[in-house]
Amino acid sequence: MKRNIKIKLSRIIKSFHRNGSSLKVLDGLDVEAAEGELVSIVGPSGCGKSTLFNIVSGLVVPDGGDIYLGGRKVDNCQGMVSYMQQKDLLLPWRTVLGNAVLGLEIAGVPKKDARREAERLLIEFGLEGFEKYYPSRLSGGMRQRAALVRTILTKKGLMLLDEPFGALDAMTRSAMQEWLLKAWREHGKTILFITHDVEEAIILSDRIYVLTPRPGRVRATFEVDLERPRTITETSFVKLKANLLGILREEDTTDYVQESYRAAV
Amino acid sequence: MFKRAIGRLYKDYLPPALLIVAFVGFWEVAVRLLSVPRYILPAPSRVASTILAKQSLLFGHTLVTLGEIGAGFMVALIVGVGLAVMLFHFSILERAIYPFIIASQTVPVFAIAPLLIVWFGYGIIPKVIMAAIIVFFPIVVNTVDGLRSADEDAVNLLRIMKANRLGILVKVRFPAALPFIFSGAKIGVAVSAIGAVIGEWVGSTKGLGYLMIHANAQLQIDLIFAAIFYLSVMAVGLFGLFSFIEWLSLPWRRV
Repeated sequence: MKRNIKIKLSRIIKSFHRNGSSLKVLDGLDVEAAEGELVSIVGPSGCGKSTLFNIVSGLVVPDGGDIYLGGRKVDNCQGMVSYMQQKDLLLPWRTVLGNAVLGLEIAGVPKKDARREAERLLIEFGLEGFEKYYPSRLSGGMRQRAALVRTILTKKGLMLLDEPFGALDAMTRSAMQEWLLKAWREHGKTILFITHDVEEAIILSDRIYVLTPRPGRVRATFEVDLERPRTITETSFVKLKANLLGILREEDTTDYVQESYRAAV
Repeated sequence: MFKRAIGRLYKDYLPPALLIVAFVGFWEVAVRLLSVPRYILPAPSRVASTILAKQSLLFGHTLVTLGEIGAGFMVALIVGVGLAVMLFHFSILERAIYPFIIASQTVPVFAIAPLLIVWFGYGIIPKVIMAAIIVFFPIVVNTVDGLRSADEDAVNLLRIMKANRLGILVKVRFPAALPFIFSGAKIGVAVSAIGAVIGEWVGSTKGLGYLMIHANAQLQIDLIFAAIFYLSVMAVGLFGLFSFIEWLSLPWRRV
């Protein structure tokens, strides 16, 4: 069954120029995600993962390449994606509820409706009773959950998550991954997920793109057909992880053949 | 809870209170022992009795000065914050105007006061302008810094949500700048009396500055001290009022 392609990035090229020298960050990157898919992008630091998201969200203009959203060619996806990063970016002067409704408020949704929706989702994410708290009084995991609620509520079909759990401790992180999977199942979003944590990518994703060091290109693609919930001790999980790590650790990537893998039970 | 509040009051206010008592006591004893004439330096007890005896006179003039400061402050706040927002959003404006704003601080307000009297007469307007000039600078500088202090990632988040410039200003930059604006306002309000009083010295018929000049001519030094006392109380009161407004307006900063 082939589903509709939600987002397709084709041959994306980007260089940054500073003090007369130029730095090629992305060199012909191809990434796509079907409607409702959770797709991870893994790569060494500095391979241009965040630049890729900035291009999709319209903060950075690419030098070349095309972006297709829902089959239509667009310049960028500004106003059509929701975005979350490692920093929770909760506004300190807004309560949890106030932060949760931010996206809806900007989209012009009536206050009452926005509040009602946010309250329901905050309960779903275990933040009941904390609606009137300022972010400074919450733990790291709760803050990130509040940020996730804001991201989901922004009501865009495509979510860009840039290492959203990178700053959390291992326990909290694993809990957050479960929250995310639950939200993903229930709200039917398409998710592009950046991480440098191979394990996290395997736990979450339908497909994993492994990028080369700068300039970023797709080194390998892994279709992950393992049943969820995935356990990190499963043989197929361990094999896939070893395979992924092996590719990430390659020193010399000047001459390679792009590979595709399929991991299944 | 109550006990702890008392304890904090103790810790915060006891040292300055003791210092004041010691200073006033020394002053009183010195004046009496050396028999300093009261047209040179009156004893604190004499100043105190003047403060009580001339209450209504002092209070009337205080209201005048307070009105000038209040009006000057509001003008400076509105113009200052407005200008800071403009400077922040239009860098060409910032490059053009900012040097002049800083340079304006090197002009002593004393030098402008007589000009303002010539232009606007003996009424309240020159004093309001004087107070505004003094308050204006810390407010503009602090507001610009505050707008700049906003988290650029949060600004980008709003851009991705397709918020316009006004939305970003209202939802991110201005709230981020608020604590800075309050710092500027508190500095401004503490020194604003300087402007108003200088304005009154140069030419007026009302206000604490007028009262001081008047008393000086008649060697009523105790009345000058009484006026200074009222000025100080007013400045401390205004500062306290602003700290309170700040506390009310920034609930997220309360622990």
